[in-house]
Order: sequence, then C-alpha cells, then structure tokens
Amino acid sequence: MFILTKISDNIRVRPWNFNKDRKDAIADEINKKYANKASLIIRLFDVLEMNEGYIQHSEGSVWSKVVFRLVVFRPFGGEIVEAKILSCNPSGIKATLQFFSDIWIPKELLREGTEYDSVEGVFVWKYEGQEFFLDIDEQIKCRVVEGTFIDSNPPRPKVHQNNISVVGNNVSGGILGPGNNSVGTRLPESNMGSINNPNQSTSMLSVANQPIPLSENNVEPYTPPYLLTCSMSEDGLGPTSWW
Amino acid sequence: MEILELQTALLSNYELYKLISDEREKSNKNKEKYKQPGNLSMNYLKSTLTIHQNPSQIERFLTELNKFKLTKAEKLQMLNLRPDKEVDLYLIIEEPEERFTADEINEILSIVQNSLEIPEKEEDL
Repeated sequence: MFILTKISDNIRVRPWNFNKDRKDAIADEINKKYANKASLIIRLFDVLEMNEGYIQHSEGSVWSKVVFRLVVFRPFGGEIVEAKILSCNPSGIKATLQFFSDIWIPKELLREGTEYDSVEGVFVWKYEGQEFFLDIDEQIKCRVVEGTFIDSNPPRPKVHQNNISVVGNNVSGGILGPGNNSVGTRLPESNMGSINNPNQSTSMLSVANQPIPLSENNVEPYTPPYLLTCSMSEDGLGPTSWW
Repeated sequence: MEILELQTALLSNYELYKLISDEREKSNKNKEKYKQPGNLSMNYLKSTLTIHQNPSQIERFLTELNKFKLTKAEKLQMLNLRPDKEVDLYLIIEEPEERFTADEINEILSIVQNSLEIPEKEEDL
C-alpha cells in the first residue's frame, strides 16, 4: 500500500529555525513542504544525504541540497485494501481509508446481483433469496483495479478564454468578417484534461472516468488528483462481516 | 525537486506505524507544541491489526514462509491484512489452486496465525 520514493530537492531552513538540530530542521521543512499533499505523500521516511548548505545573497536562510525518501501511498494493481464505505449513489460506491477518500467502486465492479436500493440509498446484494446490505460505514475489502491520475491544475480561467476570443474577433473581424466569433468560447471547460495533456493519465477502463459522485449541495464537479478504481466482485471481497 | 527513483522499496503498514509513533514520541519528549504528525493515516493504521506486530514477529513470519514460493507483494499483503480464513488468503495469492495444495494453504494460514499473534485482550474490547 505504501512505497518509498527517492527525491532530491533544495530545502530552505529559515534563520529562526537555526536553534534546532540541522537534521531535525531539514526534516521539519520537508514534512512541511511535502506531507499530506494530495493525500498521497504521507511523510518523510529518512534523509539519505545532504550537502554543506549555502546562504544566498541578501537573505539569511540556509539552503541545502537534500536527498531523501518519502512514504507515498501508492497501492499496486491487484492489491487488497481494507476500507470503509463513505457514500453511495446509483452509479457506484465511494470508499475511504480515512487519509485517502478517492476510492471509487463502480456498480459494474460489484458482485453480480447487486442492485441499488433507492429507498435505503445503499446497494444490496441479492443472493439465493437473501439480501445483504452494503451499508455506509461498513468495513470492506476491495481489490485495486487501477489508479488514475487526473490533472487537477486549476481549470483554465474563462476570462482568459474570453480575452482570446475577443482578440480573435478583432483579427477575424478585419480579415474574415464576423463569421466565426464563437470558436474561442466553445472550448471544453472541464479540467479532466485531454489526450494532449501530459499530466493526465488515461484510464484503460470505460467505467473509471465516470463522473465522481457529487454531494448534493456541491455545484462544481470535484475531480480528485488520484482516483483508485476498485472491484468487489470476487469471493472474500465486500464487507468483512460477510465472510 | 527531482524524483530520483519512483519506487525504492515497499513499506508495510507496521513500518509506517512505527515511523509515525516514533516521531510522535520524539515530539512529545521535546515538548514541542506542533501538531501531532500523521493524524489521519495514524487513525487508519490504528483501525487495522498491524499495530500489534513487532519486528521479531515479522522476522519469524518471513523465515517460516521462506519455504513457500510467494512473491514479495503476496507476503506484504499477508503482513498487512493477516488473513485468517481460506477465502482471505485466496484473494491475496494468485492462482492458489495451481501453486499450492490444500495442505500447504492450511500451513500458510497456521503460520500467519501463530507468528502474528494478536493479544488476547483485544477480543474483550
């Protein structure tokens, strides 16, 4: 579930931290800079090497080039993960690991015979005339099918697009006439990225890129930076109380 | 920032638990008031069974499992999930029927039970 990733970076220790042991000060800075980012980096694991440090012109901080290892949450494909059901909607189940909540189990990857109960608002597995509920907060096991990175850079601001289209209008107004004004404004506004976007990993599954469930009062669609698609369709998966 | 090596090692849940709890101890000792590190991941780890492990248990577990041809990932998941039923073990091991006999599966299960003991009082809670 967790891996170590080796990283090299220039770390700045500000003068008011000079009373700390140098190693501790650097460790604190690394944790401050990296830990809990996008729920994927957990903490600094260890510092492997650092240089003697240098002071830049006109300020008092000490910069050190440090090589260190970080604990990163990165389950491998096929790994079994213990999680808790966070919420349900007709297209699937969202599960949480407390520190990471972008686990998505689409209804296609639930057990055969599982249906959404719109009265209870949860999924029910119907098996030999019995009903097994997948309640909220239930402890479950699921198998990681795929992890997808989604480019969560801020969406290209609309103002910017309008500016371009305005400029375009001026130009096209002069040369081509006002025929194609709306080209600039019709660009897709989603931040899900495109094939040309290198920060966006493409999903091999057709079900993975379905819209993520929204909470009711959430207007903006939420796109997680890293989405784990999991399956619960095998024996032993699903609520731990079943088996 | 430069990523030198994406994956240098796999880390078990216990190792992370140890890392965070050591850090907490240190920050308590120094009486520094900054926030306790890794609260959320700690909450998750505390909800799993791995917190009862210790290095000597894990060493015993790994030496006893040496006679079976298991992959690193399979052993890691056994440590993290501590399978106590056949159905749990079948999830972790790939193609269990072709690779192991029923007796071997039972032996693996008993190794897991015996080497990664859970303290008794846990059941009273």
